[in-house]
Order: sequence, then structure tokens, then C-alpha cells
Amino acid sequence: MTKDGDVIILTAKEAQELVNKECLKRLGMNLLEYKEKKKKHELPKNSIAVHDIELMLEFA
Amino acid sequence: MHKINIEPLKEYASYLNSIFNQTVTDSRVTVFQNKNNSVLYITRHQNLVVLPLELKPHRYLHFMQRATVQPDDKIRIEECRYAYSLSDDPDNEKSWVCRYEFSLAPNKFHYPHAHIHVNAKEHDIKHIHFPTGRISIEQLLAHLIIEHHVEPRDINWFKLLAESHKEFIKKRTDTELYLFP
Repeated sequence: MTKDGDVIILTAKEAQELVNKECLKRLGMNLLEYKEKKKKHELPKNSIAVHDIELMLEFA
Repeated sequence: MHKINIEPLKEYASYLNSIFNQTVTDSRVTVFQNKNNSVLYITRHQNLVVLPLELKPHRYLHFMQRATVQPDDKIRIEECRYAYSLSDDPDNEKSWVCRYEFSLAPNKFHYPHAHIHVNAKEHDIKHIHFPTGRISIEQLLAHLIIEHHVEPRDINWFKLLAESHKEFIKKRTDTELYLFP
């Protein structure tokens, strides 16, 4: 992790950690489980958490 | 590996935090970049845990942007999600008041690229995507101060936001894309 003021450059692993923490906090599952459930169309419908995490996925 | 020019990122973080800190909150957002790609994720955090911006009195703005760094080092906002809530829990369904969402990418349901959700009581409409034009974070902050009585931090908040909004109008590029619906 490189920090310069309000900018943080993350390694790919750290970026995944950021998203992983959000998955755990919001949905009680880790990023891997999230991706598996997404594949199986088992994620909650109309979920704000899912929408927010989708926004983070390309980053990770 | 994507070569990173950090200056535009610092400039953007500084711009956002200047607006936030002069008008409605002490909270600061961070621009995250994954060094392996050119995608940016912008939000408030503590130890890589996402947090909302804290407003007064006891209100919250859940703020997220996803952006990309263009070849000319300009930052393009691809998607943003702002939720005004009485709770710091973004998933508290009873507490969020309104949400504004914008995405450059089309979606399979043909929902409007820019839309608002309102957590209304009389009708079951909170999942409806009411179309709107693209709005700036400055417009949203002014709305929160004027109509939701969020406490401004500076008596010149209106002028500050209006001037910053002008820059948003000058810099936005989505008007060339003819987004629909």
C-alpha cells in the first residue's frame, strides 16, 4: 500500500481485501463466496449491498 | 503494469475533500487505485473498511464513485452512488431517505443512467428508478443543506458549491454520449 495524501495505491491483493471486507460486513460472506453466489444467481434481489459491491468488483 | 500518474488523483481527492470539508463534513474521502489497472474507487474508509461521510446533526452520506484514468490522465466518473441516510448502516432499509445513482454503462433492464430512489411510505416505490439528469455532488450537498437541514460549515456554502458546480459543468463529458434512457 502506498499512501500519498488522500490517495492510496493498492496492490491487487489489497484491492481484493477492501472488497472482501465490504462483502463480509454487508452480506456476511467473503468475496469468493460472493462471486460463486453471483454465478449461481443466488445473491439477494434488490439489495443495496449487492449494488454497492458490484460497483467495487471491477476495481478488485 | 499500468503506469500511475498520481498528480491527477491527488488533485481530484483534494477537490472533493475541499468541497466536503468547507460545506458539510469533517470526513474525508480517499481515492483508491488498484496498481494493476486504471480503475479508481473513491469513498471514505478506515483500515480499508468503507464508511459514510458524517453530517450534522447525526446524518450520513454514503458516498461511492468508480472512475477510470484515461490515457490523457483525465479522470472519468463511470459510476456513482450517493445515499443520504439517518443511519451509518448503508443497508438499513428504514433509514435511507433518498439515493442518487449514475452509471455511464447501459444496463440490461434499461433503467435510466441517472436516477433517484425515494424511500416513500405511502406507495411501494423505493425500488423505482425515477429518471433524472446527471447531478453534481455540489447539487446534492446544496439539497441536503436546504431541504434536509444538514448543518453547513461555512456561511459561504452556497457560493462555494455554485462555483464548484460550474467546474463540474465545464469538465463533464457524458453530454457527448447521448445516454438513454
